[in-house]
Amino acid sequence: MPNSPPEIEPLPESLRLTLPAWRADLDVPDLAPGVVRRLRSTPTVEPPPRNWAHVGWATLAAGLLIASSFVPNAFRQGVDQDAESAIVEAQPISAPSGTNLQPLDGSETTVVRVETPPEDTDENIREPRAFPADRLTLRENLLPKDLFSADRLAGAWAALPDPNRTWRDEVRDGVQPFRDGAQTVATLFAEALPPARRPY
Amino acid sequence: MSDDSDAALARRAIDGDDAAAAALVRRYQRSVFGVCLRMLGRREDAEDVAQEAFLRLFKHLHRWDASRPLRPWLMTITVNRCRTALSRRARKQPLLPGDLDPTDTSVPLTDAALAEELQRAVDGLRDDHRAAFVLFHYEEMSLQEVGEALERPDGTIKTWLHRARKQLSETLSRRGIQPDQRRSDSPRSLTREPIRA
Repeated sequence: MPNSPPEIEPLPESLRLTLPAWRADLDVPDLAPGVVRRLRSTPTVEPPPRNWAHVGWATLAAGLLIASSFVPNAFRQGVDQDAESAIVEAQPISAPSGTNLQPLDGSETTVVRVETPPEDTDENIREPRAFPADRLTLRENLLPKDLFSADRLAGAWAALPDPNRTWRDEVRDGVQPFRDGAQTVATLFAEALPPARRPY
Repeated sequence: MSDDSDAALARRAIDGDDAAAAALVRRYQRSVFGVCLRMLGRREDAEDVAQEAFLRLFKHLHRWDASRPLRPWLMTITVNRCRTALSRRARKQPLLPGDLDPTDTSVPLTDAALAEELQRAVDGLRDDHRAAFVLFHYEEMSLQEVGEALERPDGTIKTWLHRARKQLSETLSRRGIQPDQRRSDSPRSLTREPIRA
């Protein structure tokens, strides 16, 4: 293979005299054993293109496997519920604060948890928590009863622009389109909102 | 008689034939290791990167178009691995003229010393200039092959080669490497001359 085609300029003298020694100065190690060892120890060879039929079958099989593991469990859950709860109760449990661990019927291994009523200290005395139903009733009491009465709705409807009129009619008559109706609806919603919550 | 062409060895290597893979490595290890050594300048780095280049070759071997020669593609992989290795490590400090022993002047240089001098000058080249110079002058690839390996047009490769040669010549001159003017009977003789300020 020609080293210097005609279009390549001649080499400088120092470079031309140095190149042969530079090219010859090479002691090549045998890389094959190391490459083959690393080639086989690491999966560097890419697998061939996937066979999508195999992928589909594998996905279907995995789905069936997962489903088969869920369905019997769901079926057994109701049957074995009592047995599982008994097993859970029979297992040793840790002792959180406020509980006593006592042997059950003289058994040395079975331990049951006995709830200890909290002592009547000031920290444990709290007001009874209100249920959501009570809060709903409270909110309804706060709203004025005649807020959405028929009279108010009729008044708001009367203030709305005539649906048969277009915005061109409004402009021609010198009325801001929809302004009155929008103000009425905004007033209705502002009154419907509950009063601001007082800070505790 | 077994088929030992690149395509046949590649097919057997893809199928898991270790002997075929080893045969491919031994066929091209001189080129790959040589380019790595000239590009990186350190023997231990060159061995690591050459192995990485072959591993990458085998990893993508099933994509190789067997109707085209293997060597330019392998050289492309090798140069890319060298560039990655160069970007990972800190560049070597360029040699200073003060490294030269001023008492060691006008002495004909041995081939090993000449090779070392040129390699140190090559180490100072820009990465793409160095790749073009190594592939053209060490691997003796044509301009077109170098262009394909570096994915650049021929004109760019010629420019890179011109700049690489110019810089190498200047570096060798700064190092005091020049033809021995006193020994006209030995055109291959080079000496080290004292560095002029």
